[in-house]
Amino acid sequence: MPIRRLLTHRLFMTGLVLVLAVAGAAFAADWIASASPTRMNMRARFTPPWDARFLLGSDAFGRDVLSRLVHGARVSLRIGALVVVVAGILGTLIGAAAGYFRRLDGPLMRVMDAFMAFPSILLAIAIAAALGPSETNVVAALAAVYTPRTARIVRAAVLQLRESEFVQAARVSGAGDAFILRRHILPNCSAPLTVQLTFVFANAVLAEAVLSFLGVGPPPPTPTWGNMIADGRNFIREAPWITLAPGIAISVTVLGLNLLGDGLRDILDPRMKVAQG
Amino acid sequence: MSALLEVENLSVRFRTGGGEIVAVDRLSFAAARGEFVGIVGESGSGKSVTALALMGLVTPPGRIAGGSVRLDGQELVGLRERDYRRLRGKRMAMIFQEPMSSLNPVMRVGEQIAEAVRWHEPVSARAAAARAVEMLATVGIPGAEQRAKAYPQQLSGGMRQRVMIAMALACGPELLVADEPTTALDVTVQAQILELLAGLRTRFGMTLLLITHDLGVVAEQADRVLVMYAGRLVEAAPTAELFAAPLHPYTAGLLDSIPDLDRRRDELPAIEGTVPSPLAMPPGCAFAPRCRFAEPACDTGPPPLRDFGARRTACRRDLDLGRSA
Amino acid sequence: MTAPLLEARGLARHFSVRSHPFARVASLVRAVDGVDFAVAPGETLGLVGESGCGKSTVAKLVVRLLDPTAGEILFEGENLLALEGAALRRRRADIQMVFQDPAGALNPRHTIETIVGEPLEIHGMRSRTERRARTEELLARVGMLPEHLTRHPHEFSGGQRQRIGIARALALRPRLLVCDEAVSALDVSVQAQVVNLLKRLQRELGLAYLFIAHDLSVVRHISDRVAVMYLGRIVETAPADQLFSRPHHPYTQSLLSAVPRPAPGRATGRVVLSGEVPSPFAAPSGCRFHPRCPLAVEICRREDPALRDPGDGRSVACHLVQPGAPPPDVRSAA
Repeated sequence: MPIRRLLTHRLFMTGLVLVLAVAGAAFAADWIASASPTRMNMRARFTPPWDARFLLGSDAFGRDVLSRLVHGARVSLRIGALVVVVAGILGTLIGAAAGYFRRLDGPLMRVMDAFMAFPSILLAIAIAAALGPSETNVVAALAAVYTPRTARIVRAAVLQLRESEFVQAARVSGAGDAFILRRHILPNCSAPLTVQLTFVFANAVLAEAVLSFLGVGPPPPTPTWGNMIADGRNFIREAPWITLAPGIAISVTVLGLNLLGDGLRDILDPRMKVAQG
Repeated sequence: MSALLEVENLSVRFRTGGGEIVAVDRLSFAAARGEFVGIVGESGSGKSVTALALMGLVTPPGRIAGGSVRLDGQELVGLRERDYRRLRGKRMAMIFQEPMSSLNPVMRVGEQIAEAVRWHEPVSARAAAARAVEMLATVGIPGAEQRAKAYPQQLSGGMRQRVMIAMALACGPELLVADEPTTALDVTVQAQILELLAGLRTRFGMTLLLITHDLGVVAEQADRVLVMYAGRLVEAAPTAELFAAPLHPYTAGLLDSIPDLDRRRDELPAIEGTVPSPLAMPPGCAFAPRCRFAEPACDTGPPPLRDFGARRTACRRDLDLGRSA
Repeated sequence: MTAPLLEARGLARHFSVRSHPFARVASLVRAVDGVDFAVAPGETLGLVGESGCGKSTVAKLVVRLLDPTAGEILFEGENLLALEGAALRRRRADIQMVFQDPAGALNPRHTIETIVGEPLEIHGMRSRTERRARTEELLARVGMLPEHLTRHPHEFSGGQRQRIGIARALALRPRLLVCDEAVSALDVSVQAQVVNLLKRLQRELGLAYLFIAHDLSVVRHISDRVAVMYLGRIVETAPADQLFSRPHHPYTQSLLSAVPRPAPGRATGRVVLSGEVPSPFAAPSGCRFHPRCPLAVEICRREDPALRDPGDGRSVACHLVQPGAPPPDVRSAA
């Protein structure tokens, strides 16, 4: 990992700072917001922000928006991370198998294409709705959406690597398929894979918000950014902070992740070409 | 013969991650009308960058850092792009190593040549098309009229190279710069193309600047040969004299290390070491670290260019390097 | 001649190519179409030819990166093609390859130690210390230093990377090295260094080489015998000195005459062939070379000549080469 180049890359560092800030807030949720995210206080409904008790105001049920925000961050980030893990592993397995073994390529990629034929959000909604509202089901739905895209990236990298001379050299030395995949092919896929997974994370956070907004995400009273926006939807004029806070949080997180991904791509992908020079 | 091209102290630099490198360092030479000049060098010698600099094709992070290039008296360094465009194709043209990279794959080859003609001359589409067919025939493509309708990928490597030559010569330029035009071709096709270039030069009286790493390619037809090393000119001489009695140790070393097709030797006298990195050039003569004849004086400063009649060498020593072979 | 180390008989490799995935008919590319040659222990057989002649495919067939569609490959009399699995892996130790692209042949993410030690690892040398000792030894043999072990390929020049590739190829103590354009991507001055190295290693280790190249001067310098390929077939095989000084086959003659010499004023007497190598999809009838051959006669159009010995120990595939008669001369037709 070219750490030094990453540290001097402005986009990457900006993204990293934003993401770390959000992750930090999520991690330190209990210290930032002492109030419980689910405790209702009907007498303190719709309190505007900068209040002594509610830094970011309270919502329709008198719940602390700040507390719900940082606890919701946990949910969103957790879901995003799980989707990355599942899509990453499954996508790599499928993509590598399709790219390396010619006979598996056709069947595997046709299945992937079938999944990709559906608009991603619709597919996610359909699966999540069918499985029922819960965090696990959201992860499953989003993994189904992002695995094919990841598989495609890995497959492209594997196809190219399979023909490289150092792989041929390993074969001439007597290496078997498992050795070649493990030692030569998969490690050289890490660059495009990392870049892709950063974007998967960003998209998963956004998609989860959409799913929660539509009611097929984790059920109430668990706070997620999506259902916070849904809750505040009817009060935008009177109490805009209920929707604004989660909306800004989503934007910052997704922006941060995208910048991170762009920076990684600038540094990791052209580096592969530099190494040949 | 009057000088068509005069290059004086041309320097080209590139900004890289590790600093600014000097790709071409104060290169000076001249080419007369109708002369065939070969520029020979290995990788890192700066020969291709020189070609680009002559044609005004050096783009950032590279820049021409100094010197002058005069075509028939007209200064080219600092010329505005739109003025350069009027010259390119019309008075000076270039052909490259890989024809596919300069041919448009979605345009028929006849059209591409005709386009070049119409850019420079006020002729009708029909006249330009006719000229295109004429050029294809001139470069030795059989059935030129049919071939003009072909797309580049439908033609073989040698044919594509001929098309590129046709495109370059369509407006009758006075100078043709050929950058490794035959390196990507088979030996038998290479012979054809070299013969073609030599013939065209005589026929059109144009100056040919051939850039290559293969000394054999220039040995037979070139009038003069320039040898470059690490961005600098190390020797320039009429062809026969260069091969018979090189003045610079690098030239001699290069000639010795080429295996002889006509005779097998036991061991090839190889030049030890490698070309210095442009980021870490030696303080004195760039070749000194690898030179058998290096003296302490060779490391102090860049060697002077010494002229002996039509010959020039960048070696401060007087050495007898006549070829034993 | 002593029993050959490597022998190829009737070797052929065809590729079935479709112009698009749904095309009904596939065309056949006969990349290698019936090739016979042998390499004796410790000798160098040079294999030359222009693009499309099939020499790179032959290289891949010999190391079994590709399997032939017909023919046999015998190593020390044993049928190489019948081996599978562990037996094949053991045999692979005897036949190794040096690749053309110094950059592409080394995994950019691995250290030199990993790269050169990889064959040893694959063949069961588990101890890292043992591997390190052996890789140091191998690097020393090719003129590199132990401190290079911890570095990565991009820190080295083309010539050094090629040396590393050679060191790797020697790890399993092979008897035969297939050099597939091993010096073609190197600068001229570096080429000489690597060629010298290859010759020295041959003397020291008793290696046989199958040296595949398009640069005839290099082939002359390193080969004991040379085979010339054209469109998937061998057209002439002879001891190097004989082939280069008195080539018999018209194609060999044209090829040699086309090579530019770094000596001024040789342009006279050159035979410039017309046309180019035909596409391997559409090999000409009869003798494959006949459309371009200045000496072609009627029989050349009809019948494909076999490789025959005209009486002086070489093999030539040409109707005009008759035992006892003087060989054809392309320059007489010019």
